Amino acid sequence: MTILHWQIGTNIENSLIEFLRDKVTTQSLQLLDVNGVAKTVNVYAGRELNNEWNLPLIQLYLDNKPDAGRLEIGSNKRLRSFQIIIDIRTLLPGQETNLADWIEAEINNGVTIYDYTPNSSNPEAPVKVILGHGRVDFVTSLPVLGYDDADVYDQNRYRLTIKVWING
Amino acid sequence: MIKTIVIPVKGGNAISKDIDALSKNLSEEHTKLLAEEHKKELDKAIEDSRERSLKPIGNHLKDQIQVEKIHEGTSAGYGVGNIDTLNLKAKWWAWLNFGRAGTGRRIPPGTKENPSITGHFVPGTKGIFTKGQPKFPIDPKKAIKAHNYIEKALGVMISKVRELLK
Repeated sequence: MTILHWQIGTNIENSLIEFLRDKVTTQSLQLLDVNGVAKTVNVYAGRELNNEWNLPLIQLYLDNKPDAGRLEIGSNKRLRSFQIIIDIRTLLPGQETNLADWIEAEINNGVTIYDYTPNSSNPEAPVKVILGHGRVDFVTSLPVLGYDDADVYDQNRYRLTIKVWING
Repeated sequence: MIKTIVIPVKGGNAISKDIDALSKNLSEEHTKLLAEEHKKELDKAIEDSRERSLKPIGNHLKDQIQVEKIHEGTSAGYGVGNIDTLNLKAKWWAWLNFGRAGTGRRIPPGTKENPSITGHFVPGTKGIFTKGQPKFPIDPKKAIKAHNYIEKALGVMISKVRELLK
């Protein structure tokens, strides 16, 4: 019996999450709330919004795989792209645009992609080895229009769509 | 491959004028080609992310997204999906894409909010809720997930553009 571990899509998703979390931590990145209290930016994975999540937040997930062209004739090696949706949700208007700019600047040079394997002694820290460098292309970058009656998670929202490219 | 382009000069026009006209037509044709391809990709993305079968009556999102010629000054281009039309005939376009309705809500309304929302699920239709007899209350609890069909189509088109304009 073979237990299927994380494959390339999940590896890319998690590598990006880990990359952004590291940047948030090393820069102690925070945003102010309506009372002027600094709040740490959270990075979450998943397509479905979770009401337990804390704002401000970066929500990230793999949406689709638009490209898988052959690298050369006669080879099964492919140049693949993995399209990632990054939804940014903040407490105050304007912060979502600033956070989007920050993310764009941070991921502009690409991200190291890791291959993760489970670690039974410490499930929270899977073993990882470098798989390659993921190049980043920006597909969309625009605010999601808000409405006065919108849920707090949707009042100040910005969406980035990126393609991460990796050979393999 | 080297090609010779023969440009007929009519009525003594400056050659640059004819080249301008030719390139304008070419770019308009290219834009139309891209717009039509984009429409196909949007249709595909909507179908691929469909969770329920196509409702038998009423407006469908796909049908409301059309290629339209746009005039700006002396130039013409093509657009895909008119927001005004969508807001009028397929108001749920944003809800499906972003997981949030135009009103800001994420969970569809039910009978508790609006007593007129009653009906039944038709067997074998992958969960299409049909208003009318027999009337049962409905109480949706799950938010509609973001289908991202706009981004899906754009992601494919970015790679297709080079191929189409060869």
